[in-house]
Amino acid sequence: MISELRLLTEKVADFITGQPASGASEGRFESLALEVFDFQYRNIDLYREHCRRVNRGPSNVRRWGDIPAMPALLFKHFFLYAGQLNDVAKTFCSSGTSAPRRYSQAHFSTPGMRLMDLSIEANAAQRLFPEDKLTRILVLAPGPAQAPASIMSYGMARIIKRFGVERSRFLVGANGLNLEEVISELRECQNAETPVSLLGSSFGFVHLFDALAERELTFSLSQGSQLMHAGGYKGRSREISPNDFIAMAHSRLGIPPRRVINLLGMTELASQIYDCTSDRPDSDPSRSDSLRPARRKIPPAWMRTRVVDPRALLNGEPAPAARPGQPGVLWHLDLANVERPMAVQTEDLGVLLPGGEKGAEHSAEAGFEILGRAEGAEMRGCSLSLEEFFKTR
Amino acid sequence: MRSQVEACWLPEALEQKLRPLIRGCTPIIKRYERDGDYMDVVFRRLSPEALAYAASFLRDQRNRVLREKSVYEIARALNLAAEKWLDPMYPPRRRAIEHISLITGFSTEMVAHSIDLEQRSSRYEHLVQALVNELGSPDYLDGFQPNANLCGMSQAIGPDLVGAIFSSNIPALPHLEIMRALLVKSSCLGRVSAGEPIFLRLYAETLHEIDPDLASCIVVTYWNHEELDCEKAFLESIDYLVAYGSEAQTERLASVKPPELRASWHGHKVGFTYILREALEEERVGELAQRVAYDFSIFDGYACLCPQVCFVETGGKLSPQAFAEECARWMSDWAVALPPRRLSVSEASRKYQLRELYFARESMNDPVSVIAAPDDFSFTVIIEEANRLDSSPGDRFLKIVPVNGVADAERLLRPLRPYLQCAALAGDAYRISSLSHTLASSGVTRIVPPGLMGTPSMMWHHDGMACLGKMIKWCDYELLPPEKALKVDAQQYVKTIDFAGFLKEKERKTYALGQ
Repeated sequence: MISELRLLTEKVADFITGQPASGASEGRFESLALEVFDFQYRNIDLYREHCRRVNRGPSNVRRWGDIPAMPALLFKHFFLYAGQLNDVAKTFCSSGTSAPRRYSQAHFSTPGMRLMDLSIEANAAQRLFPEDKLTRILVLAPGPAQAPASIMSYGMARIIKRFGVERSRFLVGANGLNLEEVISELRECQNAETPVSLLGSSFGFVHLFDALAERELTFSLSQGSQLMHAGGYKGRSREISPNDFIAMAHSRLGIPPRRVINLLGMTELASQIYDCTSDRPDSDPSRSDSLRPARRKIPPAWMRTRVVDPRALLNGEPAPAARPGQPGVLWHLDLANVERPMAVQTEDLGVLLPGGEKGAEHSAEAGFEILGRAEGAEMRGCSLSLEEFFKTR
Repeated sequence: MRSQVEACWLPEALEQKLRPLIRGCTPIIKRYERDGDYMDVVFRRLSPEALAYAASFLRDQRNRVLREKSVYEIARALNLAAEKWLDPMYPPRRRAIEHISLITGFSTEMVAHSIDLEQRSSRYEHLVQALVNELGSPDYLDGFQPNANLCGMSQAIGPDLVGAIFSSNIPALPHLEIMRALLVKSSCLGRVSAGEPIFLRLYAETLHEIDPDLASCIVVTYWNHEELDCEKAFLESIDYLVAYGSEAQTERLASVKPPELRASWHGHKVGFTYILREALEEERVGELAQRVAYDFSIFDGYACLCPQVCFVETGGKLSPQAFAEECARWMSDWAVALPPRRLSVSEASRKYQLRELYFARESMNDPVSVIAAPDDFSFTVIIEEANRLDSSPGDRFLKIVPVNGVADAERLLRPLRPYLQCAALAGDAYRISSLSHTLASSGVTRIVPPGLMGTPSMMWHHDGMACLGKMIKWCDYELLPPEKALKVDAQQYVKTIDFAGFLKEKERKTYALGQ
């Protein structure tokens, strides 16, 4: 079985590395997706049970869109892995915002890690460092030494390793974000006109913006600088809208809107999805209209995203598409997830943007926007939510 | 596309007086959307200055209107309102059903049912009986009355102004606090919840139709949670606070309110059902399951009164599994008779994930079994051998937990003791009696047979409190020294008191002591 896994991993790796920027070779994607599905159906017991329950299996899954998605919540409760326990070389955990007592887990073998590395690098090469334009990279998040289970820290370390020039580093220490160091680095980059890529958690940047505002500091980072943030706010800073975030990055750091990029990553998936910013203005973000939609995301060629309506599960349809323009929950398929269920139904709300209505078909114009997290119904009024109750104890 | 509807209520005289205040009353418009339909609701936010003004207006109205009315007259007006709302053709009722359904997602049938349940217990007999239950007699509210226990006279005085943070979880219920305030002759100033902003305004309009003076003793306003200056002005201008809300909200309010402000809190609660093994007999199980299914269906599980778990004892003639299957049949019937809420995408997503988790646990041989889970999410029935009680996701989620006996349930409920409220019990009368004692000392404040969890009477000591009695301040007129009072025949003695002069407050003013 290991050899089958190896073989599939290599096929996916070839697909990722052989991809041009546009989403060509739909046929190749589909046949690979069906192959991976067949493998996962046979090798992940709980996934097979799920498929059976929704009456899907290799005999009636003919398109990638037929592939049943694993509900994301199940990653918090079960060992979802196609190999043996002793093949696991690395396990990542989510930070567990919605249910602190449970964390999503993702297990990787050594070849699985290599595949993820390829995915991270291919994605970053396309979205952050086109034509191999390398920069200094400063990360406003803890490094892997501090957060060994964080897939975000791992990914950012990978990006430093592959794309960072000298003096690229993580700027969060044991005592949190080292503001003085960040400010001194920014000052140095500005004065030396060194382009810098600032990477980090969304809330880390909000803390930085607030600190700069408090000290009445602004920077004008040199051309070629950019900002990539991920992970949302998780209650760890005030929340700001995507447009405000872009405007602040512009006013505080001098980074043009096109180079302020949000990244959607999940512990459950090996690949990430970047903002497509080509329709943003080069500079002045003050006309907020011009920023709409602020976060148009386009999956890389080895991923597909659909927007599904969980309310309409009738007729054995495991994941009916939401009506165009209507909000639904995001459904991702990531070929790089060979060892873990590659199709995941998330709890993120999103909407397909114009040009992306076909949903089931990948196209370069297609894109989606994240609307937030489906928190579900709070138990309103006087009925106690036991979840809340146990969360606080 | 719909026109805007109003959520708040300001008596016309007050509205006129507020006009000269700059930004005294500003509209806040909120849009509610569901399944492509939407409506805009206008809330009236009063500035801190305007709130203080409204409070002073309401105090004047209280003296002018409520002190002059007899409590029975007030109860009759409230009764007329209830009768109107119980009429299926009453236009505001029809409007409320449509609008509340759009805003909350509750089905129109459920909203109509809720109005019926709440208004039936808002009728004259219920109101008077509630006062008897808590004060001994409503007469005490109309002036000094003979009090045999005292060998003298007593009078019950409500606060001048009751402040309310209204609830939203049960559709068409928030008028309860207005009724309670008016019954103790207090004006009422409150903040409507954005969760159900429709009913209060319509109810105030009904009172206005019946008795404009009475309706002028009510102000329903609104401010956003972060507008702490409004909240402060509100808390400083009232004499008694009744607050509904989450634990976080009520705890925060308790920490910021003036220390001397008396208050009743209605925070989070947990209800449950307990079926003793003796009730699990073939011939009775159908009716029992129907009642349990009703309790788990009513208000779609979103009221404090709703049960979150059903304990079923093992060892009966029928197994918990068989009982669960019978319940599932009735849950299905109730889903037709009282259709469930329309879920938002977000809500449905959460339900979907949780339900899939149960299916997954079942397939991995966890002690969980999904008995019924229709594709349309109309209800879910599961059996779980639980080591601890997990969250009930609401929306008709019937979780059956088999137990060997009361001790098992007690162990599971122990962490929730401060939140226990309502319990439905079925089975052998002797054992129920013993169980009831245990539950009462565990903090349960209401025990009913299955099928009645969602329909408390006005007489219930809501959350263990005499809600009317708690607001009252008593004034006792003692006519005999204590040692003498014990020696006379009190019943006979009070008959001899000439209390005519105490009846009316204006007469009381001219009553000269010692004459």
